[in-house]
Amino acid sequence: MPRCVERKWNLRPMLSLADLQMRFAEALRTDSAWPRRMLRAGPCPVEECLDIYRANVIGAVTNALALSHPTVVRLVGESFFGRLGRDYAFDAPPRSGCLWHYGDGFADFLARDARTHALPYLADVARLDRILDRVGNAAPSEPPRRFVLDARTQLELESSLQLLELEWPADEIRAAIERDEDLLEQIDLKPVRRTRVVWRSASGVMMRPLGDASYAFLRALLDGASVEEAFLAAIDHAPQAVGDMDQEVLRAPYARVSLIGEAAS
Amino acid sequence: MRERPAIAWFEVHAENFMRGGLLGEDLDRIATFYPLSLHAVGLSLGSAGGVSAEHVAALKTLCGRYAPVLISDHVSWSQVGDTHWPDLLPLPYTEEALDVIAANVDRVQDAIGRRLLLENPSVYVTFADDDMTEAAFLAELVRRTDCGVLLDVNNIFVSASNLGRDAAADLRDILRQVGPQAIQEIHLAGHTVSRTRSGARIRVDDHGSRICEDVWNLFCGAIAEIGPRPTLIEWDTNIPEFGVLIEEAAHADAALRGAQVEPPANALAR
Repeated sequence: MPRCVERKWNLRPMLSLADLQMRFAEALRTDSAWPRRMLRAGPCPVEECLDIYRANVIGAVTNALALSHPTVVRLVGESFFGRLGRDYAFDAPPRSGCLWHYGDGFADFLARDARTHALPYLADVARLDRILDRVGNAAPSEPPRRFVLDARTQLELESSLQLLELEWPADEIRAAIERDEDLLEQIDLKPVRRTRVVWRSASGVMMRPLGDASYAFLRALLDGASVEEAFLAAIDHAPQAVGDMDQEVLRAPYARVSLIGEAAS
Repeated sequence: MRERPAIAWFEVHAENFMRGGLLGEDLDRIATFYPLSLHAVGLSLGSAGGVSAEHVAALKTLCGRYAPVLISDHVSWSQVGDTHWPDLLPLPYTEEALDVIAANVDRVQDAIGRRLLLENPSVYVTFADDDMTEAAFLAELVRRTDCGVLLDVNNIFVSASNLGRDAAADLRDILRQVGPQAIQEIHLAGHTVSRTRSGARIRVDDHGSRICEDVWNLFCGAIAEIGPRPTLIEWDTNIPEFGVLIEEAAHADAALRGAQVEPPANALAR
């Protein structure tokens, strides 16, 4: 029930600012009618003035999503992307004024949306777009993440490092979109589990495939496991691929084994 | 940056740089050669629920990194509960709203140790329960918080046109009530004239075109009365060739040259 305060001079009840803002936001979200007596406009009807605010909100959200999902925009076109963005905005509106936080759930939204079922790879493309954007815009000066190997040595991982698990060849699709869309025809659209590591280096955002053992090892580390626990996870998931971890992780450009207390080079 | 155009200063949306990254590196290069102004759009200073401590902390970090000559946001709100509607939504001009925004402005100014400039937004509706005019609201906000005002001349024109008012009269009212000392920056921008579903004519503040003649005339009238102020061409949609922006900036400069231009750094002290 909205709280009311009384105006000093005419005792006409009015909404508190908190309730007014809640009602206004609800009118934007649901297209619900706003009590006409509460708003004034000029020659343009109040409802159509609210359309301007609604369009501004949708435009800002869609623009933020488009910036972080460029491949999805290219695949579905700006018009359809705009409709997806509108529905996502009202399904999962932003939580903060920093819109670069926004869109973490967009891939899952696409996976659920019946309109995109003809493009089963679209959600994975969105996941890839999103993670490349996040890594590319990660703070550059963060110290590496460190994991103790033994009493003297530690494993250092790039602070920007992210892992990605895909079912569809989203990286091939993105590469084709960026270079030559004709290459899309040549991509084998077969659902197969693919694991990738993404990080930011001095020369830009890098991505490499990972074997199952390396993925399980890094996944466990990033989820808070010790090196020993992570190693056991790797053995558990892919004992035959543990040998690949030396090249894929320990000697990878995103990792470094250093003496504990040694300054990073 | 290679050509180092003869621009006095640049302004950026603060929120675009709150995570560092590649964009932050670009801004570092700009800040090496030019004074910067930070124009926030996400503080939601008019929210009854207050301002986000995280957002204020991020703005403070940016201020520490770039030592901006000006810092601003709007007389508007976007956040309600845990939802942020990314637009400059209209505040009722009431005593309660004044109390709320003044408390929020105080909180931000205390946290960053700097004066904020508050911008008059474009509005498409007003509230039937308004207690005061926009000019009176701004003036009282300045009096209570010692904030400055970022006078957006295009917004005055857009709001007045949409609400069936006289833009020149609204501008005069703001200048008279707020006073020249408080006005420390001016924004100019283009807007779109469109038709709504019912065929009504409406001006939409979209920063996507050249500044119209009416807005130039209002601007000239404003600086004739209060003197020159640091003036920014806002253009953030349908972005044209850089030369077009330079032309618009040169047009503003020509209008400002009638008097000694104070550098934006003069607005630093609180």
